Amino acid sequence: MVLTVDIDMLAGAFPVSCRFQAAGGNAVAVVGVSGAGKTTVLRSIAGLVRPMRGRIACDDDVWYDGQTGSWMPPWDRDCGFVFADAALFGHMSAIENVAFGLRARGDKTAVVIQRAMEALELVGVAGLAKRRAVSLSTGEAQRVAIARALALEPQVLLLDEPLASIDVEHRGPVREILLRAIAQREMAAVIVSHDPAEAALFSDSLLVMEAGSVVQRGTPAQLREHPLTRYVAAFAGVNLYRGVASPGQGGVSEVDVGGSMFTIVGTASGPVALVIDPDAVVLSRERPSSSARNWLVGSVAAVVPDGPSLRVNLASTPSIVARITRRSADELGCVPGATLHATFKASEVRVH
Amino acid sequence: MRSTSAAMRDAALVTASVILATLFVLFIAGALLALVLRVAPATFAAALRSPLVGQALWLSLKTSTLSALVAALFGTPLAALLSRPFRGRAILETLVTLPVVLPPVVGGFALLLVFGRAGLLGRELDLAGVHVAFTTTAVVMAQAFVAAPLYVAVATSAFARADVRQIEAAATLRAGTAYTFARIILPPALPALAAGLTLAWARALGEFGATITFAGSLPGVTQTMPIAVYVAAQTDLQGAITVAVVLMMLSYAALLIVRQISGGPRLWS
Repeated sequence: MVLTVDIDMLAGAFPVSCRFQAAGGNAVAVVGVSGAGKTTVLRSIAGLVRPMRGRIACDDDVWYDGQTGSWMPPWDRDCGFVFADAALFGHMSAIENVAFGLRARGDKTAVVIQRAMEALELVGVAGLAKRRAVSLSTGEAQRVAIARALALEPQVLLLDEPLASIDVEHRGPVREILLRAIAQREMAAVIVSHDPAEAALFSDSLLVMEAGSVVQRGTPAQLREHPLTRYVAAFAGVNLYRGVASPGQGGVSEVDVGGSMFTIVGTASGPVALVIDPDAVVLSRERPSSSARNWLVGSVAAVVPDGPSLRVNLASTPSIVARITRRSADELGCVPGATLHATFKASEVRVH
Repeated sequence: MRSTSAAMRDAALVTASVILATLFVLFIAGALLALVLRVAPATFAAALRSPLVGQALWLSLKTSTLSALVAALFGTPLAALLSRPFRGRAILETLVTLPVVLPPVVGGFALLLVFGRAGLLGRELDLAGVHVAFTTTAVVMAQAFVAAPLYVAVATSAFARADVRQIEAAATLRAGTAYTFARIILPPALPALAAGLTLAWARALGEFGATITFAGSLPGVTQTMPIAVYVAAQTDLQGAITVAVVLMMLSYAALLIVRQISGGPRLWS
């Protein structure tokens, strides 16, 4: 199953255009600052807004085709939408919210409640079933909203900042539930996030939008090594790694990033995303004996101007980007091919 | 520390406001009280059982209830339509609100010119054997003409308060337009609809001008309570007072109910 999106439209006064494909069982992450047009793209896939031209199709099922003028209303599209603000039906209980879609679809009354309950259990909020939607906290409401979208087992799952309103400590489990559902049911997922680290935890395939258009797409490593715009360099161009954490001793944890071990502050376990600002990475000609816990070595792959500074891509394992002044670069002999050491403190690593 | 003159100015404004408000309440309450004070307890019970009062009371309750139901039947779909933006909505909304400010006699006259024997549809209706003018049906039509816009206005604003995000969420959950209306937009609007219905009922109960013009004043057929008051005021004063007092109590009760349901005397919110 493949979702194909190729649209041009107006969001208010400014143009938005976007083109990508998402295969069943995978997620595509659309990242960018708010106002970049990310949500508009999701809304047009769901059919809540109509593009000006282009095509949206789920395999051979055409949802929108600007050339033939064909248009499928939202309720006929096999797609689920998790809104950033949950958008639960306030006058209903949690389970009635989840049952709504099943009833609207015409499922038999006998199975509706059972399926709704299963969806609530999947997201770990079965205990909230009888609670009125208005009495739920924003985090609880968002989990119910996720259950509501998953209950219909749609082919396409659209997630608009799905974890933003959930407490940081609960994000991991909910993310895992979503990822498992996407993989098991082979849904094509599109996730919108303003946080590249969050997005990277959902997908290896990032789409960066700026002012209504896609400025770059690729894996986190590709964006880091070759950022095409200042925004990508500053936000998506940070050093972003996915790894598996295990608690160590002395208030630190060890994170396995593809075989290389990183040290982070605090106790963490399970899948994590690590973010290290390029400004926090220190380059040196020899391995320094310092308090910095993390060390990588590699040859300089590229030196790219970034405002008054330079971005230095080091072909270490994993690769890392450091931002240093031109003067430091001169003194270090920082030219492509030179071997350099990169160090950063455990406390400089932001953990997601 | 405020100056003495500021404090005096403040006190003077408060005093003036209290006086104006009191005069206004006296104006309304005084007139109504005058009516109640004219009731002779001994004859009130007897007058209540008289044919004049009994017929008018029964006819009024019947017709205003029917008018309110007619308003709900035709007004609910219209309100649902008017609660969503579309081209020309302002023109349509103003048109259906017009009877609220139009003199009711003009409305009754207009209805007569359409449905009366010499009216626009009079010939066709006559051939079909349907006579509307000066019947109880005409009473209901006249009342609905005047009262239904109140229901439509209240219902429109209730439907317009529906959360757009919830409507969109419903659309992504396989719910078509009608299903979304029934399950998402309608339930939270029900208290407001009940208030609108009661308001329309009270307005229909008090309808006079359109009714007497289009339906006349036939006792037991078209002579509703307001018309009975008007007619009896010239011949049977105690009867007129009795009907007027009953009318007043019913209207007051209806407005109290509207207030209870909607949490305030908001006609348009």
